[in-house]
Amino acid sequence: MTRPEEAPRRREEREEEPVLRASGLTVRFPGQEGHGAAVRGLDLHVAPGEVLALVGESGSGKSAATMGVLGLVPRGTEVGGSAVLGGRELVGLGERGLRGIRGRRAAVVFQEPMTSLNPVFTVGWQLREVLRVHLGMGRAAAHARARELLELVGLDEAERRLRGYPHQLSGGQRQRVMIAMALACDPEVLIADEPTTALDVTVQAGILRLLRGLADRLGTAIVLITHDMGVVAGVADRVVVMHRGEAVESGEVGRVLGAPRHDYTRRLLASVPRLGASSAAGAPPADAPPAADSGAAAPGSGDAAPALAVRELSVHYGSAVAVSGVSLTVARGETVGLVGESGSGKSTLGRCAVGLQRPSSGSVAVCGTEISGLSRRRMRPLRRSVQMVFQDPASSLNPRMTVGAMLAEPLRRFGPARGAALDRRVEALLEDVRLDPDMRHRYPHQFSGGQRQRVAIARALALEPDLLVADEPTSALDVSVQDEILELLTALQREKGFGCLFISHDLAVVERMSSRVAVMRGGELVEEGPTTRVLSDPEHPYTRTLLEAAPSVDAAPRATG
Amino acid sequence: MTATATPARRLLRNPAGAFGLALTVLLVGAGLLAPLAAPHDPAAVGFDRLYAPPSWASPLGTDELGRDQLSRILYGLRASVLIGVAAVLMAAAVAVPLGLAAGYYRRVVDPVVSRLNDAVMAFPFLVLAVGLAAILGPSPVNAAVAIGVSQVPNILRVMRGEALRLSGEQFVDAAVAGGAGDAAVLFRHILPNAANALLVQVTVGIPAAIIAEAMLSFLGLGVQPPTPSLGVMLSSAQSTFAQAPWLAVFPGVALVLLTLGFNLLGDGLRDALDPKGAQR
Repeated sequence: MTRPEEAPRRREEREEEPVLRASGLTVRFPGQEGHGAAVRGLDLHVAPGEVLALVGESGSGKSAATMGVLGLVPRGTEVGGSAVLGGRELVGLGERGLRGIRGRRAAVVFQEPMTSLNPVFTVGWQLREVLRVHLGMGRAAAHARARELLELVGLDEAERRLRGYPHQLSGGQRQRVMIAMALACDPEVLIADEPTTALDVTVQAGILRLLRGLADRLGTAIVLITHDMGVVAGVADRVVVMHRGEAVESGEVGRVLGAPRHDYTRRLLASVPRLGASSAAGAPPADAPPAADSGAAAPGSGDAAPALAVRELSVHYGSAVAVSGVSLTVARGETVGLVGESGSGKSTLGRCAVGLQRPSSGSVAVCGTEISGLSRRRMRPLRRSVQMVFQDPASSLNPRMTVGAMLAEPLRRFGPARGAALDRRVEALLEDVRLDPDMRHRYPHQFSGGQRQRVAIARALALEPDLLVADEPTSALDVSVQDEILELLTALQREKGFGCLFISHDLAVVERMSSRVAVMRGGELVEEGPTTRVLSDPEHPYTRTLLEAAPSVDAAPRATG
Repeated sequence: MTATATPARRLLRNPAGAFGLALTVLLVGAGLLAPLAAPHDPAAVGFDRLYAPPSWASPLGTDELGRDQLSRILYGLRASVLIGVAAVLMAAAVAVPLGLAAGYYRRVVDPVVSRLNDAVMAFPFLVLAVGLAAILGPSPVNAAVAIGVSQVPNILRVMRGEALRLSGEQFVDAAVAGGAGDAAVLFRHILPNAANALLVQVTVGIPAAIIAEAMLSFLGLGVQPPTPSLGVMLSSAQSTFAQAPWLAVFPGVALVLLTLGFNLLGDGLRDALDPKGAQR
């Protein structure tokens, strides 16, 4: 079954017949009759051993194109044009024919490794099942092959992993198992749809290296669907940039990223935050007071007190420690970036700062007032001085309330404004976040992701807080939208002068937003200091690891380098 | 893949749901309009036409006292619908606040409410309803109360589950961070978002309550003769089934159609209100 291991081939030798070639591919979802199709006239091809990146923002049709070819789309979707896989036309093949292709000749790896494995069966059972169903292998043969596959995707202790259950694996390990499953039938094409989006950067780097290695060693053709230009730069040979259902540019990755021809590609690249590109726009307000020793500021001394002072904060969930002995200060008008991977405790720290989470020990003071021991009722009058912007604007807005009602709710609670005066305040808030005041009658689902996040920001700023906690406010958004939201936050901070605790996993975003940065790992603060110093000359080895793992658009394009 | 269809249009587009809606509207309407729609007085006795088979004068025949069967079925539907709906509304009035509190105050309220609910649930629905009705004494109001109490656990469980799920949503965190008190969080942010699930549960609960009412009346614990009710009619038709089968068949068919209508409507609503259904 296995193909003999091929020696890594040179780029020049790869000029062979592509395994997958799509021409004039069109995908139209049901209900799109009146509008443009999801994919319009897409041409692409990928050769054995090649990694093709299909890059674009949400709604660009990058997933629709590949899923349309494999028939993994809602019933009633029209797929037109042509897609040839190893000499066989896939368009018009029908569900029965495609079922024979999927998993065997073209395999797919999805974004969410957490939900794509069945929790009640062992990893080994699930791998063997694939081998038995698709290839009719016997139990012993399937076991041996399963083990071989796990070794292939770089999981150590394969024998033990086979007996284990999915919950015993980390996210990155699960994604490796998913890739192993996809490789089970030795497919000609592997389609990876945002395979690393749900993973931490240090884990992402490993998965990308694995995919690259599989293309080189096994000669599998890989179609990598991603929104992240840094990922493209790291692993792809060629790239197709999609925008609104069409391919606007394609070519060698070095050429497209280095000298983009199409205007959209240029704009997309410009909106990608870059490490080390800290410019005047991202510089903190000049009047921000130095915060280095503000821990000494006496509480209750009015304006002198920092917006947020956290001392020796610990949070335990049962026996698990989420945050352990963290001290951090945010001065008024200052932005402090809080960086860490999932499970580092950065979000828990943020929730403590807004009083949504009760600390196990330590103190949290907002504008000099201690909030850590307060009951919910006593906390309520203090709410107006600290507000939060959440990660996912789709779930942080009540779907049953109009945007106007949402913004009016806290205003009515804390302010005297009623009737027309209240309406004017709501309109002013929407204007503050650059939205049309007439939009106040709409419901959240009638907004785009970026607009929703603007609404969430307006809601947080309604009470003119002294401290804004922004927990990954842009990680659910497209890069160009992220750019606008970051711009907006910077501008609003300059106008209103609130202190900001900016939580993010993305070092480049943090560099752009904050004057100081704190790095968390496993609940502890490992490093803190001025942003420029921490990012250019990190003291802690973990900070260094994070910096190295961060995907970068400017990374020297591989192979041709 | 935009959701252009509203839930109402999706319900009407689903054949079973549309049929359920039509059947429910027809039978509930006929029952509520019984005083206008009935061709005869349901209590008018006629000793010259005992056990008359269906005819032009009495389309569904007459009973052992010569009363018009069609008129009695219309009034019977009225009693069934009123008692069934009243019972479920009473149950919701008790179950919604309790479920809301249990799902939101997980430490204090939930253990107490949930354990009590489990205890009530341990009794089969009909056994509980019959037992309570027997204790309270036979009357239509007591029947509604007994059925309502036995309906509480189902609605409470749904409400608690929804409150539990929704209190983990970010918009609830955002409301708390915005200074919202418990009442605002519960009634402005959680309850409206649970409305769909509650509506479905209530629509499914009504036919169960109607069946229960018919059964209680059949056993003599609900509506009392001579007031017409589907259960009373079925009960008195037992002894004469061989001579006058229409006395059992027509009320039976009416009961089946009524519960079928509500059940189809409930299923249709569940599909129509499911946001994932929007893509179909």
